[in-house]
Amino acid sequence: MRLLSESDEHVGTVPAPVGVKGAVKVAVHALRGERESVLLDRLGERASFERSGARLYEAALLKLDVLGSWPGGPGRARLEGIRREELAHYDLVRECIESLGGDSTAVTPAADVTTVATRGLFQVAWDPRTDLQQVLQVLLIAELTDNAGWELLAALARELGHRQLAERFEVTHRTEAHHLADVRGWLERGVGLEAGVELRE
Amino acid sequence: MSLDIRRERGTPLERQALDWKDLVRVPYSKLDDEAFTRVRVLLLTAVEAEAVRFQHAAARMDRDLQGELARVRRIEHFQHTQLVCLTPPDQSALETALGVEQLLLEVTAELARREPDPGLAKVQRFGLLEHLDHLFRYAALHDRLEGQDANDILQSETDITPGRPTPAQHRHPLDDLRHPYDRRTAAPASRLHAYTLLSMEHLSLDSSVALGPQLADPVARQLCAELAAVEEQHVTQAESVIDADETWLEKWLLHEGMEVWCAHSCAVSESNPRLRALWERRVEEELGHLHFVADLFQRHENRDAFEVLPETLPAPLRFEEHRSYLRKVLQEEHDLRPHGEDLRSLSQSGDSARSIAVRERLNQQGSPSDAVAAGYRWRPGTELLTSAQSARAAMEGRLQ
Repeated sequence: MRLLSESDEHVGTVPAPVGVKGAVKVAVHALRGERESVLLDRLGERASFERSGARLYEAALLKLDVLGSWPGGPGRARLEGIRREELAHYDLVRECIESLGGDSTAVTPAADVTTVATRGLFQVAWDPRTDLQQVLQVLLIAELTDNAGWELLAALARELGHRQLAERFEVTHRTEAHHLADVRGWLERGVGLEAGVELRE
Repeated sequence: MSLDIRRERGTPLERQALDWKDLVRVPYSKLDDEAFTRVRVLLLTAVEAEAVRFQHAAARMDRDLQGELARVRRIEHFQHTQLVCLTPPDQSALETALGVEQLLLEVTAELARREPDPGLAKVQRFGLLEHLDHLFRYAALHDRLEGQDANDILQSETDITPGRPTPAQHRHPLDDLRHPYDRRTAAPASRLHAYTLLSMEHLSLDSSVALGPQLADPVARQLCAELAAVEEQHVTQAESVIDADETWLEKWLLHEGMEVWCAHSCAVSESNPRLRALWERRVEEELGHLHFVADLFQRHENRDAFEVLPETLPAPLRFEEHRSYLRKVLQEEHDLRPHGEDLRSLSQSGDSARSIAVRERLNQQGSPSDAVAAGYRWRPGTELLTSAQSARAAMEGRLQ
């Protein structure tokens, strides 16, 4: 821990939007007042997470095809639909980053941190020994994070004066809330069936 | 910019002391440091790992010098540890493997472009096109497993494009041996190049072997096994071009010369000031090792080290992209195949029957590299972007 406390290093910096003069990159921790950079950092996080989400739903589809589902469990059409919505959300974020003058392909610190945190989810999802219910457990973690992420982004955009962006993010958040409800419901029914009880939704 | 290694004596062994904190330093930044900083760290990691490996092998064959080997090797081990610990914790093993492939592409291209022996240059280019394909397969895996863009690591310095197809790279062991240089006539630069390439190929082998078990997906593990098999071939090839008649002390001297040259190359090009200071210190340490071994060489073989090494090292390696060079090599030499110890065009000389047999057996249940990259084409922001744009258009169409 001594090394940590002596270090002035950080995970990384947010690339400055196009048009910013001077240093190309500015440390995030020195940017408290640089509001747009904070927004770009969170948008980068959303872009990365939505792409991860699409790949996680692909893993779930693979499990479904091989192992099947259960009464009240997920079906192919809905899983594919959610995957498409995750992708659409990624494209929305990409467009927002570019409209703010940012580079939608750049990894921001928040994106980097969320990528590291998500690695464990992929380890479970791509493991051939796990079943669909266990992948739903992973998707539940992802959807809870997703919901909180969109809620945070919408609030941030609103406070920073990006009213139209905030409205779009709120719509996205409502879509994500449906994802969460579905995943939670599928998992509860699966676990309930396994235990021979009916869990209250 | 070249280093006069006869005059520069570096830090004596007895003053090369480290402690734990010195061994584990603040890592470089995956986000903020340039791609070539990672490449330099990986290059020096490769040469230190090779130094330790070589010196252990030598100790098993020479009782008299085990003490001297142990002294130098302990320091090489610490240097290796110090380098490995510069890897940032947010860089996954797969991202490191991407960085290793970038190292193999950019530094091998640099070696091949300056190699004075046309035969050795051809061997270097032969491996280059196989690494190009490995990078492409790893990039597909990174995208398809985790939705991440390999270019985050490569930083647009290296193309992500197919090379000589990996399924066609599997060869019979005897088809991996090439003509060696002659120690009596080879240019000193050729010998340093050969040891540098050997070090990098071994790092690539170790990286592929270590990566497999860290991935959950069985096809991803198979891909690592497949790429590791080719890297083993590359190590065999890289070893075979080195004259086996060099004495082992001569080889030790060449290893130390290579370490000085690589460290110096890193020191004069590094953009991260913290690492530049470390590389400058590393040059002094390696010069200390070099002169220690040069004295042994004088005493045990009664030869001057500078019969083997040049008094002034070749110009430092340049760490820069070789995109157009790689494209040209790909266009002109993609169909090279082994023909005995030579490399010839597939269309003119055909392929080796024994290598075809090896390849058919290995690929009889399908090729993991094909499975991982089927239909893959890199685009900025991952291949998901195309379907993301159509998914959004469809979703917004529904909402309107």
